[in-house]
Parts: sequence; C-alpha cells; structure tokens
Amino acid sequence: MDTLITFLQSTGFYMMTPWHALMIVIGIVFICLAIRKDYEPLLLVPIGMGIIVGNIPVAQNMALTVYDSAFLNDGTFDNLTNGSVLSFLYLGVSQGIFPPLVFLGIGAMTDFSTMLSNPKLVLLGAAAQVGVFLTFLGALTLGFSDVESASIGIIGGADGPTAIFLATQLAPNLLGAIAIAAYSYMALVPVIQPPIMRLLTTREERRIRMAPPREVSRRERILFPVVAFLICALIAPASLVLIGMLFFGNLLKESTVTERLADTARNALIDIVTILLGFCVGASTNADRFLTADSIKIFVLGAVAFGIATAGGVLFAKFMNLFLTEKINPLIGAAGVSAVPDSARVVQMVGQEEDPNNHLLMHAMAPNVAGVIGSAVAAGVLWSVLGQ
Amino acid sequence: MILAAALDNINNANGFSIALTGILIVFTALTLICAFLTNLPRMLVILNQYFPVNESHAAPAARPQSAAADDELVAAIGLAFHVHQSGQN
Repeated sequence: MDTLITFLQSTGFYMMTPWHALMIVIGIVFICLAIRKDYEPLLLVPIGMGIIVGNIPVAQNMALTVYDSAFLNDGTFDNLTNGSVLSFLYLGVSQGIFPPLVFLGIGAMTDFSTMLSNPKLVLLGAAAQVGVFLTFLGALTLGFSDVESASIGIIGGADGPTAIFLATQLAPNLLGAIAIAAYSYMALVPVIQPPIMRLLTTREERRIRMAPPREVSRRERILFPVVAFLICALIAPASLVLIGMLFFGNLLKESTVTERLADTARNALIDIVTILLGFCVGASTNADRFLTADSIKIFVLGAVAFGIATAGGVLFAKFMNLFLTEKINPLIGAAGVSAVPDSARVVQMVGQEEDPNNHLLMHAMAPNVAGVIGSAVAAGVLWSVLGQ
Repeated sequence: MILAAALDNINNANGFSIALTGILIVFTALTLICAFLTNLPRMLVILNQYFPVNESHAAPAARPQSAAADDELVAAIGLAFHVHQSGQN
C-alpha cells in the first residue's frame, strides 16, 4: 500500500499546480493557433508541444527537465548520468549553437536579388531597428539591467534566432521568456502589423505601384554575400557568427557549385535545428521559472518593440519619398522587421486590399532580408557594448 | 516622480548614448551595403573587362537535351502517323 501511495504522490496529477495547468493550456493554444489559423506552424507546433512537456511536474530527484544539467557552474561535467536528455538538447539553445545554424539555412534559402536590384530599400531594414533601441530604453525605465534590457529590445528585430542568441550571451536568466515572446510575436505578424500600417499611411500611398526589379547578374549575387559580410563584420565584429553563417549559406546557394550543401542547409539542417530549437525553448518554460512579473513585462515590451519597429519602417519609407522622384510604397517599410517572409506577405495582403493588382511581395522582400542583416548587426552592437 | 526614476535608470545605464550609437552603427552598416550595391553594376563593368564571365562555370543550362528529345519524339510520332496512314491506303 505504501508503494502505491508513494507512486501516486510522484504522479503529475498529484504535483500539478494551477500554474502548470495554465502553461499546458498555453501550449495547447499555441498548437491550435498553428493548426487552425496557420500561424507559423513550423515554430508554434514544436514550441507548443515543448511547453506541454516542460510543464509536467516531476519529482525533484528525477533528471527529466531541461534544467537538470550535468554541467557544474565551473563548466565541468558532474556526472553524465545526472543530466537529462532534454538538458543535453537544450545546450544548443543555452550555448547559442542553434541560432547560427538557423541563419545558415536562412542564408541558403534567401534570394537577395530584389534587394540588389533596388539598393535604397536596404535602408528600410535599418529604420525598423529603431524598435530595438527604443525598447531597450523602455526596458531600462521598467528597472531591468542594461544587459537584460538589450536582450529584451532585440525582440523588436522580430528575429527569433537573434533574440535567443543575444539572450544566451547577455541575459540567460530571461532566455525562456524572451524566446517565447519573440516567436509569439513573429507568429502574430499578420495580427499586429496591419493596423499600424493602415494607421500610418493614406489610401493613395497604399496604392503606389513600384517598378519591377531589374535582372541581377550571377556575379552580383556572388559578390554580395562576401562584401556585405566584410562590411558588417568589420563594423560590428560581434555580429560575425550570425552574419557569417547567413552569408555563408547565401554563398552556398548563389555560387551554384555547392548545390548539395545549399540544399542540405535550407532543408534538412534547418528543419532539424528548428525542431530542436522550438521544442527545447518550449520545454524551458516551466511555470515555476517562467510565470513571473518579469515575463509579463517582457511580453508587453515585446509587443511595444514590434509596434515601434513596424512604425519605424513605414515612417522612414514616407520620409524617403520626400526625396525620391520614383516613389516607394510605404507599406514595404513594415517588412523591415526581419520576420521573413511573413511580414512581406502582410505587406502584399494590405497592399492588395486597396489595389488587387498591386504586387508588392517581391519589393517587400528587399527590406525584409535587409532587416535580417540589420537585426544581426544590432545584436552585435549591443553584445559588443554591454558584453564586456 | 516615476518619470524621474525612469530617466535615472536610463542615465545610470548610459542608455541614451548606447541607443543612439547603436542605431547609428546599424544605419552606417546598411548604408555602406546600400552604397556598395548602388555602385556594384558600374564596378562589374570594369571587372568584366579584365575577367570576362566564364560561361563554363555557370550553372548548367536547365534542359540542354530536352529540345533534342522533343525533336526525336515529334519524329517518332510523325513516323507512326505516316505508317498508320500508309497502312490505311
């Protein structure tokens, strides 16, 4: 009888708290959003399942969660058997290994041609990063430390891997909340961005048609990743890992002589890493650590960051139009946040509400991919300045 | 009072200068990329004079043999049609 009672006391039902149950419901909501609404299913399904797994309460003496690590504080192994399987997978997140690999895959699947054909659109990717730095200030006002504020601010870059990478370097204690906030807002791009875009533009501006991009030569496409990497890495060396992998992946694609490698990077590799990254991030949101006042603040600041970044891109596009003879549609400024390709799709959708024959998608991809570069550089700058 | 405390937090962390420096550096990096891309076609004109594009290094044409295959197919269909018509006569 004692054995039965001991066993019953070790079950999840016995140890479940309302907070664990709440997190499990959140995980189920994520999965439902992915399946029913098609919001970033490749991310939300692994994260949602990870949240459910990470919030099954387990006995203290059982090494099952991502936090049951075999690593001691000095970096040495205690005993390999003391670490849970999830904790070893989580090393890819906590040590910042997965984000650069995701960037490699993104580089191998990104076509920079529209950006190469219309270089001024690169500046929209920079303008959207204003959200990162204004949110950095906002987080400071709420009492976060400088390194924590920088990690929260990068959510405004709308780039999950970059947010995770910077958080692992500067504020590992906030990693779970920042990662979940970043990916949640990336999934909610179609909900958050359109109202801001409509608010800041007139009907006439939303109807502006842009000239089709010119054809880009193979030499341009090969030279771009090498030179752009040199520019970014020499200005902000801390962005070297993310930017380096991004442009390496792109070189694999554009050189056309390493098609097998490019194919692996943009398919198998990025899929494997996305599964592990999403699941581990979800599993790190145990209610005991995740449901805190700081997490709520991070979610609020993340939404603010995203809104400011969107507004920054749109307003800068309008500012550029003051000087341009060939106007650009200011909606594409919203794609300066680097949620590739969702924000570009949103631009297309909002543009076609006013003019069904206006195809903005290819134009929006230029600031979209520039935003990826911009957010990686912003992360590099913040790491350089605050990581000393 | 709250505003003063918030400003104190920013000033203590040197927040304004970090934010301003950060956005300037991001703009500088992307402006340099923009400048490079704007001038790239002109640079390539010069580069191509000294290092002409070597077509053998380009990706293989998508369907170099398909046209021939199509011709063979048309010829086979034509022959079959001819034989069929000849048989009827």
